[in-house]
Amino acid sequence: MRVVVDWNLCESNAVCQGIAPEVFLVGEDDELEILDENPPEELRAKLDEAVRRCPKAAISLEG
Amino acid sequence: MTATQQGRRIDVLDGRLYDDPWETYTWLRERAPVYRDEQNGLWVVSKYADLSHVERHPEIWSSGAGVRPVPVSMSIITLDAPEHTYTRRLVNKGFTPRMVAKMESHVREVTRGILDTIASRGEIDFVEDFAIHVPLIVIAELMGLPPEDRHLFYRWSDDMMAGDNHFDADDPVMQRAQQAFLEYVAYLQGLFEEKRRNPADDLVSILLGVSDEGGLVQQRPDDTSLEADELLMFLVLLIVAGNETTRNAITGGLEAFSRFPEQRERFVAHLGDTAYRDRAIEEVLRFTSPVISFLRTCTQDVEYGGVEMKEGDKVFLLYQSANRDTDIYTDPDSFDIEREPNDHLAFGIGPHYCLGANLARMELRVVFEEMFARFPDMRSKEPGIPFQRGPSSLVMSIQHLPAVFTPESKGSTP
Ligand code: HEM
Ligand code: SF4
Repeated sequence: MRVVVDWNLCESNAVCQGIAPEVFLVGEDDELEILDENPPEELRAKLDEAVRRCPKAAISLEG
Repeated sequence: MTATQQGRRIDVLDGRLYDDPWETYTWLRERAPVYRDEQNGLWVVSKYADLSHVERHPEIWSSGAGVRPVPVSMSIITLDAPEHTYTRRLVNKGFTPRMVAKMESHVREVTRGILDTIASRGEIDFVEDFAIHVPLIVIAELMGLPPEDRHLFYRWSDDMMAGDNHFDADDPVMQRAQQAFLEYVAYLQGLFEEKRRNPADDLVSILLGVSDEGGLVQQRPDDTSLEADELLMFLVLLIVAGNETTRNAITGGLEAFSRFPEQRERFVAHLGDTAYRDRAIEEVLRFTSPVISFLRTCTQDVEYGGVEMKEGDKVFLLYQSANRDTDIYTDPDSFDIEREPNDHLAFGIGPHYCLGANLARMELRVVFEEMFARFPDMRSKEPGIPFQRGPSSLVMSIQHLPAVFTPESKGSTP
């Protein structure tokens, strides 16, 4: 599974980080960093939640 | 299907509907989730999943033709991608969690100062004496206004907001709105001159710099009217969008804490627990949902929710109703500050998700925390009676709320 963030939409509010800190980190520079672009399957439930709850609808999962 | 075939004729643009809309919302969600308001020519969306779906698909349901029944073009809120994306990224720099965090301690000071002014009174108009101030001062300071000019903003922002859904040039409400708009614009033009001479670290200086270098997309490049000036219109949007909304969340929140006093006791008992407080603020937002409606325009024919929408049709989104949807919430009409999860739609969702959400949340945190720390029994004088509202179908527009509390005696130190 691949995590894709639409950088035109993302506003670094870190909602995703709160849900899946294994994958998302908003750094000191106020930019979101994807820590793991191909996260393991056991994170799928969390990532689905991140997709649903990102207020900017900026996250999608491929595969 | 016509309105009468659906069993009920509802005029969603009648601002008085929202004095007590809850039973109507329930009926809509249960009986006609995508309802046809024939009189106004609107599709009305009332369920959480549908509102979320529409907002997440701007390619089908667009904002570019306006987000109100009487369309007024107003910067990013009425732009579609790619102009929306571009402009929003630019202005967002002033609204990130980090920028907002920098303002927090100052907002706390401001709030304490306002509490000082009411401390000995024991009975106040919660709106005029308290709720109105923090949101306005925050925006004024964000913009870099001199404090002595702030008082002008109260009337300008309220009069412009009240102009929503008025279009007749002879209508006094419309005239006041237009007057406020022109006064505000004239004021901004003066402010721009001042900021060009003495640029500072405020939003107006920064955006002015970008704009002067040609960095702001104009909505209609050949149009030289005020309404086409992206910087002016963004600053109009800012005072309209950031004031009454947050003010109504504060007032509505106090009313909720008063009608559910056990929730107030819980909140007070957990002061200092930031996670507890943050969760409570989400419930204040869900429960009050100060924005009543926005709308979208179909860019194409589309079948949705069992109806056939045509290109150009208008879709009216009811935020308060979505936030009381029993498909999502257990016992949605009770105010429960421990509710979890609570992904409400008070700020919308998708590309137009409220630009000021981080800021509004911070203001609400600070206001409720400081207020209840100092006046733990602050409450509405008559909990449960209907709000004294303006006739708006856009915002809650709570005009007054008599509130009481145990005052500090004159001699005591705060
Ligand atoms: C509790 C307070 C607030 C509520 C409930 C609220 C609600 C909303 C909602 C529902 C939208 C979505 C509009 C749409 O989808 O068409 C929105 C957009 C917006 N809000 Fe807020 N808002 C609040 C506070 C603020 C504050 C404090 C500011 C600024 C200082 C602000 C500025 C904006 C702007 C600029 C937009 C347009 C964003 C865009 O179209 O990209 N709001 N707000
Ligand atoms: S929740 Fe969405 S907008 Fe927020 S940081 Fe994550 S991807 Fe970006």
